[in-house]
Amino acid sequence: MPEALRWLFLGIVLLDLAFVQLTGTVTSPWLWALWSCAAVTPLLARLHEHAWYRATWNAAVVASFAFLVHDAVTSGLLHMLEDGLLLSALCQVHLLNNIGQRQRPDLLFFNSFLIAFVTSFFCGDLGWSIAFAAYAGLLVLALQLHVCLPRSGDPPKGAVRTIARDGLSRSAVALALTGAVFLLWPRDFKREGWMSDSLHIGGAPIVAFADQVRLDRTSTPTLSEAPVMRLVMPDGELPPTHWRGATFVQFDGAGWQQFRIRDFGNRRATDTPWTVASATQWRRAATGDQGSKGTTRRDDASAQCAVTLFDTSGGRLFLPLLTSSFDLEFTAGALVDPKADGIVALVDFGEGPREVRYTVRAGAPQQLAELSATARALLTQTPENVPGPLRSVEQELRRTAPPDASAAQRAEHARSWLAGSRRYELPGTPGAARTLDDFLLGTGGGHCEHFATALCLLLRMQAIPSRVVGGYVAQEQDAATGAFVVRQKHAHAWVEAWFPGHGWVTLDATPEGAVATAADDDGLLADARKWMEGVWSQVTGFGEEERAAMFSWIGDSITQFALLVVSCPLESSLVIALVALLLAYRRRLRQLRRPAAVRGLEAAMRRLRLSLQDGETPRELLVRAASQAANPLAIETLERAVIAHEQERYRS
Amino acid sequence: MRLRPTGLGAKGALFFAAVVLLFFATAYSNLFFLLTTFLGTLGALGATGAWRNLRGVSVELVSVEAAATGDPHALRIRVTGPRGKIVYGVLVDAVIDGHVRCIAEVALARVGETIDAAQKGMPRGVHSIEALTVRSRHPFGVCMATATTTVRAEVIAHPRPAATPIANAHGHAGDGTKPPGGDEESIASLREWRQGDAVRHIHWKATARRGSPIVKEFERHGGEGVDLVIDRRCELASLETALSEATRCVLEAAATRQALRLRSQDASLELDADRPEVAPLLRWLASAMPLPKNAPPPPVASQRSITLTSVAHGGVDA
Repeated sequence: MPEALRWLFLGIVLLDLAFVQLTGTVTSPWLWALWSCAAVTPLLARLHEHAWYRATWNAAVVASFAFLVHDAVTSGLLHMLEDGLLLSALCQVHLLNNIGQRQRPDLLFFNSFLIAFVTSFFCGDLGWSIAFAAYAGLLVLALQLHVCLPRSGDPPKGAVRTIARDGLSRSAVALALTGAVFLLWPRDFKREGWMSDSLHIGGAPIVAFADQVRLDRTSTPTLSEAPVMRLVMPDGELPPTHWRGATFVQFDGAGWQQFRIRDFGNRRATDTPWTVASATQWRRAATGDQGSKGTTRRDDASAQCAVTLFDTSGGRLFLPLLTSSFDLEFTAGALVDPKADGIVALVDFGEGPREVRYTVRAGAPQQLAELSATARALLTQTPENVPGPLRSVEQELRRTAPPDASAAQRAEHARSWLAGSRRYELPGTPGAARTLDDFLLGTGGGHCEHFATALCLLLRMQAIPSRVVGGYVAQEQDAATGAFVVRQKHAHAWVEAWFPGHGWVTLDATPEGAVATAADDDGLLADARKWMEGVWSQVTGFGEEERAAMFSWIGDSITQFALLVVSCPLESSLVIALVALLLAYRRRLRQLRRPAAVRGLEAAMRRLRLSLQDGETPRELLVRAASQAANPLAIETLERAVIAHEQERYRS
Repeated sequence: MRLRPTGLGAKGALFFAAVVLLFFATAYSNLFFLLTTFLGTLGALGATGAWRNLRGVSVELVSVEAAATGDPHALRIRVTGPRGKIVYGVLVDAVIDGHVRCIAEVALARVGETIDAAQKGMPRGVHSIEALTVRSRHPFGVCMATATTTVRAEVIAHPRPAATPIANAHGHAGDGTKPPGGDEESIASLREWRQGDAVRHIHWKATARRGSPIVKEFERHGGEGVDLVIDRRCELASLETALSEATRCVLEAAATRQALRLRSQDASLELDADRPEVAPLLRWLASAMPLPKNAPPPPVASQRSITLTSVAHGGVDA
């Protein structure tokens, strides 16, 4: 096999390993072993002639394969994914080591694409996109060299370079065509697959509001720049930070169950209910004297906040905890459904995406004097088997808290301990916790759901009713307009705890500024990364609206161009004439490059309305033309042209 | 030109179908769509690229070299088509005696270039080349483009020359380099120069007098070379041995510019000492087959003739 091709295969396999590494699901010792084996393949190729080497290699591969299959069958779903990816990677390294006379590279090509494809579900972030761009170039180049280069012997000097040049231009064409199809192909961006329910395969995970809180995420989500809300406060006031979308009350060991009214049995069990004030306004009784704790320094803002909700796919009107009323600008085609936990659901029946505008009036709603027994029991419920690390942390907090601390002080103590003692990591990143225990022990960093879960459970262990809340934080201010922009990457989880006499209080244990920190670094590299992430999130977040905007831009551009042509006829005519001249000149140049004999032959054939058939020589064409008893003059011309062509052709 | 999917292409199509099926089975995802599109684009580019690569291109046979039985035959193939075009991943097949054989594989060829091809050793005989096919899987190996040209040519696999020279009955014992026959020569006449005449044969004085090149024509003393008579009324194995001996004689005669006449039943071929054309003789030697024992005898041997094989001996009778 040509040496150039061997190196390209090595590059493809290394990128496959990079894809697997990016998912963060595979443990390091396995991956490092595979990285090492792949990297030394060029050296191992020399040992192929030895039977002992082949026997050792194959035995090691079979043993690893058997172990991984056994592990995949006997382990849980999470390890099955890890084992599956490892098996694919092992297969690639094995193929790379055996490719040559006995092994064709077809399987290596397919398997490599499969790995890229599968890993895109778990880590379709910027890192994956960069790896895929490199992979696409290598794949096209390797395919071309594999097809073109003779299987034996060294290729002629310069052939590899010429083919590589052709391959690079073809890669560019492939990527450009893919981009064009991606932008222009009409499709349903909200299509539900007919097997979605069974397969549970969605797109690449992104940070966004979700109806669930799970702690077993292992893939790094993309920080999407897609805007969700715009908040405008009068006179430059700051809006509330925490905007609620869902509350979660029951912990199952790996995640939280959403609030369900049937568990509480009473609409007034936990929160003051919303009442309809008018066709567009909802309100609840306000006391106006409630404060807040923790990091919610702006949640007691009393002014009105104008909200524009761009993304209604969450099915929520996001509201701060301390909201006394809200007014919707429209209700036609939309159903507003306030829930018993203070959350307001929005069912939009309108066709296509549309913005929802509403005004939020801040003010503490009248709190319940006491929680019902059912509610208190549910909101202080802890797992049957409290994890050891959680118990240790709770004991540590009891030991370090002031002896006569109130419930609110103990809650604040727990919050500040977590915020100061545990570090923040996005799931799937190096050093991220894989379980709640990892996070509590401090061996892995957690994301906001880890912080919220730990705090909520710690409060419940101290008999403080609490719940986890999901929604968004408002922290990005547009310097030009002063408005706050909430993006998908600002999705967040925090805790609300209930204190007698105070009602619900927001407690956020996640270290300040941790939300979407990956995009908030400074420096040239960080800026470049931010820009690339922005571009990639536009790709992953491309939807019907963006497509419509693009077509609108194209249409506008054409219209503007047409208007320009009409308004400046003389200049336009001049430009068109210049372009036409340039095209004619290029065509003439191309014609001049062809020998006169060839052009003469073509002209003679055109005159007789004949063309060369497959494998037919001009001389045979002449015989055919003569047999058809065509115009003798034209035949004579053709004969002269054929002779001239033969002289030109065979003069060497 | 014909376009058909390759094994890789068929597997790729199945893979693509599976991906598309999965795409529609799951909820829409931009990344999934992007990957599916990329895969589809590769397939489409693979098909159009294969078509563009061979569009207007064909091959023609320039020459075929005769070779001994079992030895590879060198062929020269010229790529024809639009001027300046580069054709990638060229495979050339020849249809020889109805069988398709790959004779050349090159990474790339420019139109007008000549490709060196080789056909593996063939059994003794005259094998006809019926067609030449140029094919390519460029760019991605998913489609094979094929263009076929009908040709009429022959591959001559002549007998392998005998390793040892023939012992000559007339005292011209073969020394391994020269065939039997005279090698002294004198000028017989002068004539106009023709293409292919050696420069050393130019008669410079006559050329100077006439103003155009004049060459000397020679005649050999001691005659007109040697008659090689092959009696084919024998077993095939005996004939093969005789043909090997004859091939050695013919090739040596051509190399040393000696006249030679090859005679057999219904065959009489001559090798001109001045313009040795071995192809007709080699062709006959490649195609010669045994005759029945009751067939007429070969022409009567002269004093300077060597007779190879006979019914009586069943072998070389030199």
